Amino acid sequence: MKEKIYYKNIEGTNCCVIKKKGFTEKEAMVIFKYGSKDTQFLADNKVNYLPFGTAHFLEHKLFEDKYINIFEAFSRLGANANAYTNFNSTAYYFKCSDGFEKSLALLLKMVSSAYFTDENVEKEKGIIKQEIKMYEDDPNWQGYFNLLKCMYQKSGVKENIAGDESSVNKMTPDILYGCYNNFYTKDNAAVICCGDIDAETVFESISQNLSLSDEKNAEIINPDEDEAFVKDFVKRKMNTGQNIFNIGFKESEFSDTIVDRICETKILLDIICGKSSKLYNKMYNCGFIDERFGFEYFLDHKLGFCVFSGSSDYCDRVKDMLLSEIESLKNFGIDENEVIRSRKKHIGEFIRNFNSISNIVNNQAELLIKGTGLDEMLAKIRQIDASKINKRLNSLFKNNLCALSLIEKS
Amino acid sequence: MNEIYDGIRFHFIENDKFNTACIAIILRRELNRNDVTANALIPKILAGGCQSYKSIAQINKKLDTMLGAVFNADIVKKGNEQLIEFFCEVYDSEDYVIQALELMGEILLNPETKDGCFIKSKIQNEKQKLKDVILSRKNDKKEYAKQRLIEKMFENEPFGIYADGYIEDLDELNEENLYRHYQELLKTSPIEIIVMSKIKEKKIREKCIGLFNIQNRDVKYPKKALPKKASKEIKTIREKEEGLNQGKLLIGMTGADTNDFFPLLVGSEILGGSGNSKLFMKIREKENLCYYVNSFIYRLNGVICIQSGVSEDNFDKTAELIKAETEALKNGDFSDDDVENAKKSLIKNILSIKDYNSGLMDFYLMSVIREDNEKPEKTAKNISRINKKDILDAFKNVSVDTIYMMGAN
Repeated sequence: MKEKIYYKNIEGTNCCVIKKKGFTEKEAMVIFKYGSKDTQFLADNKVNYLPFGTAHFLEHKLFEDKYINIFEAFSRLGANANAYTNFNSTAYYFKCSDGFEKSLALLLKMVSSAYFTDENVEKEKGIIKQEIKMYEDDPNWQGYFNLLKCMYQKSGVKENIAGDESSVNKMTPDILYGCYNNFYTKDNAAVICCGDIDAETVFESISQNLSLSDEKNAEIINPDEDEAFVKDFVKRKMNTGQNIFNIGFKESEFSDTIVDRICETKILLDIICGKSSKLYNKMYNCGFIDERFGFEYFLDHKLGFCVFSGSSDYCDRVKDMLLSEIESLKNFGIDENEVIRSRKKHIGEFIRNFNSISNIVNNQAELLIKGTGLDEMLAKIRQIDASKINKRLNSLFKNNLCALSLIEKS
Repeated sequence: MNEIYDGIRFHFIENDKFNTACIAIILRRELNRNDVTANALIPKILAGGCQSYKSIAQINKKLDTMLGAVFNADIVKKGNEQLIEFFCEVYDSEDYVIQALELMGEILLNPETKDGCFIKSKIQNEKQKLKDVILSRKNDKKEYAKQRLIEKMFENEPFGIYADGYIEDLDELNEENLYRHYQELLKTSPIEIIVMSKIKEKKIREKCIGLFNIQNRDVKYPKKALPKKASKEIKTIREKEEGLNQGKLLIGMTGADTNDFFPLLVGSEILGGSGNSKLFMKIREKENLCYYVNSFIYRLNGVICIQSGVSEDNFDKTAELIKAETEALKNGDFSDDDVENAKKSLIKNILSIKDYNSGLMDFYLMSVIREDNEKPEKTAKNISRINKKDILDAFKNVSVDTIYMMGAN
C-alpha cells in the first residue's frame, strides 16, 4: 500500500487522513455511530424507544441552519455535500477540488450544532414520506427487509431505514434534539479525509471547528436475539418481471474480533458461491440464477448476517443447493488452494478500491466506527488460511438455519 | 493514425495514477430494431466461455490468479449506438495487462463452438436469461419510467430502441443464426480498443496488433445522431403500472442545438442539478412534493429531461411548477451568482473524472464517438467561459416535447 494513513485521536474523536498524491478530488466525512437499528436506549435507568427512522430523519434535518442555507454555502465553496444513514451509522460528507479547508470547517461546524423547529420538522415529513414510497416500489429492497423481519424479533435492524409513514408522523424537534445530544458525541464520531491534503492542517481544523458534547447520558441498547428465526419463509406479491429471492443466515457467536469476522466472511462467501465457484456455475448453467445473483453481509459487534439474493423462478432450488453446498463444505473442509485463490483475489480488490477516493472514504469510515481500519484489514486478509475459513464456516452457518424471503411476480 | 486494421482502432491513455489498468474493447452498432436482440445476446454468450476457458468458473479462476482482475461483457447505449463492450480492470503490470489482453482476445475471437455453431444448451440458457432481464426492466421504476419516456419521445428512431433487446425476437434466434450474426459483427463493426495504463504504449499496441488481426473486414460506421427539433405541441402520456406507490413524472424537452451543449449543461445545473437548484428548492424544499427532482441532458441527442417521484394527485401541480421554473430560466430569472455556483459544481465534477479510472474510460469513449477528442480540462475550460447570455441563447428554442406520467390508476 503506497498510500499513507495518518491517525489521530482528537479529544476523544478518531480522526484519520489518507493522502492521495496527484488527485484533484478531496473528500471529508464525519460519521456517527448511530444508525437505523438504534431504536432503543437506556437513560436515567429507563429504556426509551425511538420512532423507527429517527436517525434518518435527523440526517435530513442536520442540514438545517438558523441563518444560512447549508447546501448553498457548500455550493458557493465549490463543494457538493450529501449524507446517508445505514443500519449502524449516519454520515455527512462533501467532495470538492478547491477550497477544501473552508468546506471542511463548514462540515465540522454543521455537525456541531442543530436547529430543529416545529415548522422545519413538519415540512420534512412530506419529503421523507415520498422517499419511503420510492422504496416501497423497489422489490429488491422490500424483499431484503422482509427477510430481516424473518430473522430478527427485537433488533431495530429489521425496520426500514427511513421508518414508515406512522413513525415519521411521530417525529418532533424534542426527539431529534434528544438523539442529537445523546448520540452525536465526541466518542461516537469519527472524521475521515482523503485527497492530496496535509494531515496536520486537517487535524488542526478538526480541533478548532469540531465541537461535540462529551456527556454520556444515554446508552444504545442492542437487544439480545434468539438463535431461532421468527419465520423461515415470507412471500409477497409485487409488480415485478420475475420472482426475487433473498436468503439469509444470521450469526449467533460474536467472540472473534470484528475485523477477523469481516475478512473471513468476505473470503468464505466468495468460496461458497463467487463466480469461480462450482456452485455458482452449477446454478447458472441450470438456469436457476443469472448475473444478478449476489451476496452481502452486515457485521457489527453484536449483530451479523449474510444475505444471498437474485432473480429466479427457482428460488427453492437455489436455497436447497446453497444449503447442501454449505453442508458438503462443512463435511469435507474447505481446500487450502481455494483460500489462496480467494485471498489473492481479495488483495487485488483491496488494491483496486484504493484507486477511488469515494471507496477509500466509505470503507474507512465504516471500519473506523467499528474500531478498525483499512490498513489492519489488509494485514488480516494476508494472514487468512484454511483453518480460519473452516472455523468461520462452522460458526456463521452453525445450525444451518436460514430464511427465505420471496417477492412473487403478480 | 489509431487504426491498426481496417476499422479497428487502438487508443492509448497513458496514466500512472491508478493501481490498475483498464482495457475496453468495443464493437459499435447503430441501434436497429432488426438485430438489436441478437447483438444484446452476443456479449453474454461470449462471456460464458471460450475455447481455452470453457465456463464462467474457468474464466473467473483465471481472473483471480491475475490478482483479482475484473471482467465483464455488456451492452451500452450511447446516443444512436448500441455498444457491445468487453471491459477488464487488472493490476497495472506488464505481465498482467498482457494476460488480460490475451484473455479478452480469446473470449472475443475464439468462442466455444460445435459443428460451426454456438453450443445449443448455452444459447437456450442465455436466451432465457435475457428474457428475464427484459421482464425485470420494470423492477426499477425510476429507470423504467426514464426508458419509457425516451421510447415515446423517439418512436421509430434509433435512440428510442431498447438496447437490451425484445422478447418477441428471441424465438427466432438459435445457435446457428447467432453464430452467423457473431461473424457478421466481427466483420462489419467498427472496433475500438481503449487501454489506460502506465506501461509503454508500444508494447501494448504491438500485442493488440498480434491479437486482433481480423481479416476481410467491411466496416460500417454508425450514423451520428441529429438533434431533435422542437415539437409543435406537447405530448402528454399517462401509463398505468399496477400497485405503484409513487408516481413518476418526467418531462422531456427538445429544440436544443447539440453545439450548445455547454450553456445547456450550465442551465440544466441551475435548473435541477443539485441540492440548491431551482427545482429542488421549489418542488422539494418549498412545496414538499417530492424526495427527488433533477434534470439531466442526453448530450448526443440534445434532449433535456427532468424527473421526479411524486404522488399521483400532484402530477398536474408538479408539472405546472416544473414548466414554470423552466420558463423562468428561459426568461433569465436567475442571478450571475447562480451561474457561478453551477459552473463551479460542474467544473469540480468534470475535473474529478480524472480521479476515477472508469470515469476517464467512459469520457474517452464518448469523445471517440463524438470524434472531438475532448479532454476533461477542455470541457472544464468550455464550461468556465459560459455566461448568462449564452444560457439564454441556448435555451431560446428549447421547449417541452413530452410529459410522461406513470401511476397506479
